[in-house]
Amino acid sequence: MNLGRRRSRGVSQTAVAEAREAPGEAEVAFDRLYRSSRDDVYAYVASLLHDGPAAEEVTATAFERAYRKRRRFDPKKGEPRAWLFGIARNAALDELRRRGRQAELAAEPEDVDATAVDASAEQSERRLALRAGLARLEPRERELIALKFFAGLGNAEIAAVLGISESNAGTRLHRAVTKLREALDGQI
Amino acid sequence: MDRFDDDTLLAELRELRPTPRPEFTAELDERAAAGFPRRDPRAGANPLAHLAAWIRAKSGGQMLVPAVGLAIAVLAAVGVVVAIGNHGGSGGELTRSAVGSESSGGAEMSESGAGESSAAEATKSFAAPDRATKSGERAAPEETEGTAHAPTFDAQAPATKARGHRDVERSTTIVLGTKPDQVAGAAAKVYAAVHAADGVVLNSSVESGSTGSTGASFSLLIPSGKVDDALAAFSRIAEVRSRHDATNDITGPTVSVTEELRDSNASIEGLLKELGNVETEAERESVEARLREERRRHASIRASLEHLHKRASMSEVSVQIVTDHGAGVVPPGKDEGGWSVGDALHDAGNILTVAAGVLLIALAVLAPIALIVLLIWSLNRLRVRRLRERALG
Repeated sequence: MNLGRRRSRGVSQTAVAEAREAPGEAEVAFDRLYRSSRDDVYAYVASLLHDGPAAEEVTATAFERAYRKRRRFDPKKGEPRAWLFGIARNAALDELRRRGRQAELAAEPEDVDATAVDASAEQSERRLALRAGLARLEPRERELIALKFFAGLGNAEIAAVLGISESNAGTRLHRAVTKLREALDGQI
Repeated sequence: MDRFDDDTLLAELRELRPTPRPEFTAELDERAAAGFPRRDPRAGANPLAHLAAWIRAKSGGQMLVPAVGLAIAVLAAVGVVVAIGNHGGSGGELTRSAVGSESSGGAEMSESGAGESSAAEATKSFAAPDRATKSGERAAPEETEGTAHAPTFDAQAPATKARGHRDVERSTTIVLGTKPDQVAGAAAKVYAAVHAADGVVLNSSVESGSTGSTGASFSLLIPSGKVDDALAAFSRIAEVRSRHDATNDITGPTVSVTEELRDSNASIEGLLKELGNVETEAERESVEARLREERRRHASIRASLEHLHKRASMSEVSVQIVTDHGAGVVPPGKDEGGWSVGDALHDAGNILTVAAGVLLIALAVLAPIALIVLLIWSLNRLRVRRLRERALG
């Protein structure tokens, strides 16, 4: 019986629907990763670039690259978030290289103003001091702060992103926070 | 302002976290749902356009490494190919094997030659049997013209050699296969072919019969000018199992001996003139003694020259008739069309051998290139990593 030539009878109208393959395991996992990391990746990239439009472009590029490489990701080699942030970091640093500009942590993120409208005077003062303290840190220290507090990565994930040991990542992070605190104490 | 405690610091840091615009997140969500389609439609459709876009995106420095890597890889490939080519054609001794087609079917022919500068010219004649024949004819013009006399030893000989005349000694071994009961007939045909070519049978051995180790062998001398006709005649007698041609350019020794003979002639003439002018008995005896010695030397040189000319004018041919595969022998001009499992295995073995050879050569070419590409790729990754870290400051 030739199924390929069999036709339905009495069909007067054909409904055309977009045919899509059922998402595979890699697609489902990537979708989960995207939803859980979209804003975190943007926050980290914006912290590195200090440029909203560029951060959007690099964030999109990072997800695009990660999507293309999703089948090559090996869970045995690390956490998916660390893998994704590694790609985002490379994309951001490439952007910095392209622009020939030194990375600066977003001392004044674009959304700060929006939140500052309702903030009290003391809160505003605190945030100004915090921004100033962050500006005094080294770029690598600011990156650690961004990975930890803006992107919400754990020490193990930070270590994987930066290619260092977990203990080293913890030590550096502690030093960065201590330095930030000292800078803030100096302002008070 | 109060001092930052830990909780306050962390809370304030989180408050500073940049957040994306809703428009951007909506757009990104759409693209994520669509599987992140490429944003450059030209690049997505055309790989060349994609490559062009990639090249445009790269700076000069970034393009330098891949370009240099590609250039090195190409140079390495060319070097390997040239090295392989030179290896095949280098050396003073040349050995070449070829599967030729004789009148009676496939015949394996291997030819070898060795010598000095003249060897190259001699080996050129291997490529075309006709040319080799002509060389032999030039080497022995007396025989081909039917003038049976000793070679003339004139002073023009070296000049003739210089114009391109070559004396080439040639020897051939040909193995014929036939059925045991056809050995006698084949041997008779060999004799007839030798006779037709005005050749000489130096020795022969024929064992014929239907059982046992039957076969024949002949050691022949064939005029060089007719050796190809004779070999063609032998090939028609039975299936040619193998054929080996060897040549040796003896132009150098011939020229050298010819010059020695000319010098000896001059010495004899001078001594004879001196003998006519002697005044004392002692002087006469001395000159006669030197004349005798010179004549002995002259005879020796002449004999050497004759031997050299004979080597060039007559070719040694060894003919063997074997019956080891008697049952499978196909007479010339006939094809039984049988193809046994053994033949199939043999053919399969040959094919596998050739395939393995091709694979080996391909590996020899590709392995160094792959190594270079890998090295360049690794160095480039290191370089990019360093530049990225430097960009971070």
